[in-house]
Amino acid sequence: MLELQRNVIFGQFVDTGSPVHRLDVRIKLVATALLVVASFLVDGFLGFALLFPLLVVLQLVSRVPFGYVARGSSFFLFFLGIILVFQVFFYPGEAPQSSVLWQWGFLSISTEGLRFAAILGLRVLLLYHTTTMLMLTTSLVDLTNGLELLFGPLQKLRVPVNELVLVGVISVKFVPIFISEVERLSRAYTARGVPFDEGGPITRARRLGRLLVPVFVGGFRRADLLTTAMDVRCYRGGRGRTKLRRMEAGLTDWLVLLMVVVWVLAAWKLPGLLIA
Amino acid sequence: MIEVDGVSFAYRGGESDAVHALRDLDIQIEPGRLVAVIGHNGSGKSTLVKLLTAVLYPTEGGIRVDGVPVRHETRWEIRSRVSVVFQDPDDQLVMNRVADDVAFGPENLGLPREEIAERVESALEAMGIADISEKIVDDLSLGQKQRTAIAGALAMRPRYLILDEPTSLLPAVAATRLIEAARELNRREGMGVIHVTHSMAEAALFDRVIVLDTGRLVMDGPPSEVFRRAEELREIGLDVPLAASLASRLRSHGIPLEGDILTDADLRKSVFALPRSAGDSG
Amino acid sequence: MTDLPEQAPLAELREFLYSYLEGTPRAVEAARGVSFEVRRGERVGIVGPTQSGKSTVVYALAHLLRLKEGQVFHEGEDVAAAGYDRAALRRSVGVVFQRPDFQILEDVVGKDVAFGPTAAGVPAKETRERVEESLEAVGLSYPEFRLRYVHALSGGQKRRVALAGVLAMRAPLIVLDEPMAGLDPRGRDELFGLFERLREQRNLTMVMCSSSLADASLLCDRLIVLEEGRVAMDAPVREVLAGADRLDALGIALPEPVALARELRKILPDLPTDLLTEEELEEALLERLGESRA
Ligand SMILES: Nc1ncnc2c1ncn2[C@@H]1O[C@H](COP(=O)(O)OP(=O)(O)OP(=O)(O)O)[C@@H](O)[C@H]1O
Ligand SMILES: Nc1ncnc2c1ncn2[C@@H]1O[C@H](COP(=O)(O)OP(=O)(O)OP(=O)(O)O)[C@@H](O)[C@H]1O
Ligand SMILES: [Mg+2]
Ligand SMILES: [Mg+2]
Repeated sequence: MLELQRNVIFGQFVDTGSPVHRLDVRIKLVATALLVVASFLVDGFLGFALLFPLLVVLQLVSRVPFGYVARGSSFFLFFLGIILVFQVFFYPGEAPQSSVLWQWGFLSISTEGLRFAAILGLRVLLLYHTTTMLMLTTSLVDLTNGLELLFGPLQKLRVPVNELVLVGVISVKFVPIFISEVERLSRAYTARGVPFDEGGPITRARRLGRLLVPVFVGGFRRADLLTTAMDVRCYRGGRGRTKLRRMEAGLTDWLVLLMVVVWVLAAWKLPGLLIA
Repeated sequence: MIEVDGVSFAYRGGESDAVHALRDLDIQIEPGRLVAVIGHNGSGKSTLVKLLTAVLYPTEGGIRVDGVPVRHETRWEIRSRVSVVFQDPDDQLVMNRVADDVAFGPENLGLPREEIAERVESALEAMGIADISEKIVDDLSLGQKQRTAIAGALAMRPRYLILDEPTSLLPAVAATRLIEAARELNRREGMGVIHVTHSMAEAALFDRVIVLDTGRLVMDGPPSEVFRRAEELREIGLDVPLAASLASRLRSHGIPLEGDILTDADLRKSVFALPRSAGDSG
Repeated sequence: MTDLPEQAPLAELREFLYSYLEGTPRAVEAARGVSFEVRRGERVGIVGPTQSGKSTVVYALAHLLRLKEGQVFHEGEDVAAAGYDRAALRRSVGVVFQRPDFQILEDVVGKDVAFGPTAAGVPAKETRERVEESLEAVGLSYPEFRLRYVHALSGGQKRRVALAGVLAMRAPLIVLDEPMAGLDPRGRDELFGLFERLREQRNLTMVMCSSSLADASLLCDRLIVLEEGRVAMDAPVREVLAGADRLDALGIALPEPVALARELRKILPDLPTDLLTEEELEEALLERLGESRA
């Protein structure tokens, strides 16, 4: 049987009540943004090595089991792996002949190519891990409120911040809905004589293709029901909405932010200073 | 006051003809009443609910809620007076923490924070789920989810609360508790409750029973009157509560049971009040 | 006799264990060692409070979960064993899911009911006959509903379509998850009659889940009471009903006549505890009240 819910973590929220969960959302969002920026700025193994302990600390403190995150990312890691392999083979940059380790026709492996792919991989992993951890540890409401506050100033430029943020957040919620829809449908098909747990990979893939239309129909039906339910509770696209939850950044929150800033700066600048 | 005035509704079909779900309906519901709606599958109950909450609009006729005509332009006004809970809580819960979901409606109304907090608290209290307010919705049982959905509707402080078969996915015990909670709110805050159900025993607990048959209103009155017409009810696919039907059987055997008998307790009281000869039921 | 003593039970669970979302922080142990068997021609009710694992057991019977070996058997064979013919298993077990939306696959009523037979390779003509027969059996007129869109049906009508879709598969074992929820009183009566007929005509074996004893006790010979993923009772209907207080404490609703009799026992203490139907209750009351008047 397909057990996607077990294996996909996108859009899930795992409430362990850890300090990471309790962190002020705005701080969390800014810290995540910093790390995202860092993933572009840092350019060298040493920098990533410096950032790595931060991710470990984050993972440990959040009390979200690493095994769960790893399995939930297997799909993603698989694709990342494939892309990196291509990067190695088709390294576009100039590679001096001396660094070529292996060549066959137009395919080649060079140390430059390997290094390039490795750095790219680390970048994407850093990006992926921080954003995933943000979603795993932040409830929808916090996410909405935090984003609305951070982007609030844009409202002056007539950007419909509230609408955009809530729509974005709700679409995060739809990912698990679609996933459970796939599971539900594959079970229903199987029960009625079109099995999803038999046949070779090709048969299975073909059958999955068959799910495409019904999954979207079912997903949209549920989306429609949810929209009606929001409608009858007077949701008008976020206009005039007030908030139950108050956000207060305490000393700890600021200290955490400071720590992240310092850490990121260190990872960015320190390698250069050391080598120089 | 909800006034349904000569309302008809047809779903416009795709290939086939339109489905006439409601025909020429006249209903008046005073505020603060407990009303049950019964009818066979496809009799138009859910359609009526959608018309009352401005999700659909009548093809013919008009509806007014507290004097406000139900129209597309007035829908927000209507929905702040009329709250609805549908059958499946999984399709209604928006946020992922119980308290946040309950707060969703009042937040949309733009109320000050203190008032939202107060409403959320009292709604959770009323549904008896204050202890799970920080839980994640996905981890709740169906009954708890259903209560969360109802609390979310209550937090809107509606004048009328409409429940469309909230009990059909619940075990009977949870259903009874839910109805008790609704009655309590009705007593305390004068909120009207309109409850759609397939359980005749549940309907008997309300002040008034409205019976639909293929889109038409066929009976409307206190349960004691409606359930007296057992034959007619059975003809349109419905029934009467067990206690009522048993009482009429016993009466037909010449046992002089007194009073209106609708619930188990009614039957017990009537049996207890029977004149007895000495030394019986020993 | 069809039921030779040495014949294996039609379906059997042995110490069945199952967890949803295993290996995640949200893992739920849904079945914690459930054992029971279902013999041919039997009608078994599985009752239990909400979240007790009923639906999980239903899925297991048709192998719709990731099963481990040695826990679920069909006609004596381990359904999780390598090389077991699962397609045949699913043709012989018809499952009606708890919610029609979990089950209905096509957009048009007639097409959905035909889905099972078509997938099983039944010829078109026979499929059509089966569709008509099944729709009529669940109280939906074939000409009227055949071309209706599923999403444009009322809740109860959808449930009937889901049931018709499974009936059309003509499986020898039917597993029903809360089949009566959302049906009007006539619908319930008709279903009772239908299941009665199916058993007589086709020796259909039935497993039915419910959180209320009202439906299960009228239809089943034996009841299995689940509690938190374990079997709490497994006995003939009347025997289970004798423990009404225990069921009540579990939050399982009693059948209406049993509940009424329980209420009346406050004033008529000698009323028997195992009155199942309205008629039985009427008779018992007439006996007592009739004579008290005489
Ligand atoms: N979206 C729709 N499009 C077309 N017809 C519809 C639609 N929804 C419902 N109907 C039809 O309208 C009629 C009334 O449906 P409604 O859902 O109001 O019934 P109901 O009384 O709530 O029934 P149930 O007890 O089964 O929930 C039914 O015949 C149904 O098939
Ligand atoms: N798809 C799923 N993912 C995660 N947990 C699940 C899933 N389905 C069921 N569970 C959990 O497994 C446990 C048993 O659920 P199950 O649905 O088998 O109970 P049930 O007796 O059928 O309950 P109900 O009367 O509510 O239908 C519950 O704790 C439930 O939350
Ligand atoms: Mg309905
Ligand atoms: Mg279930």
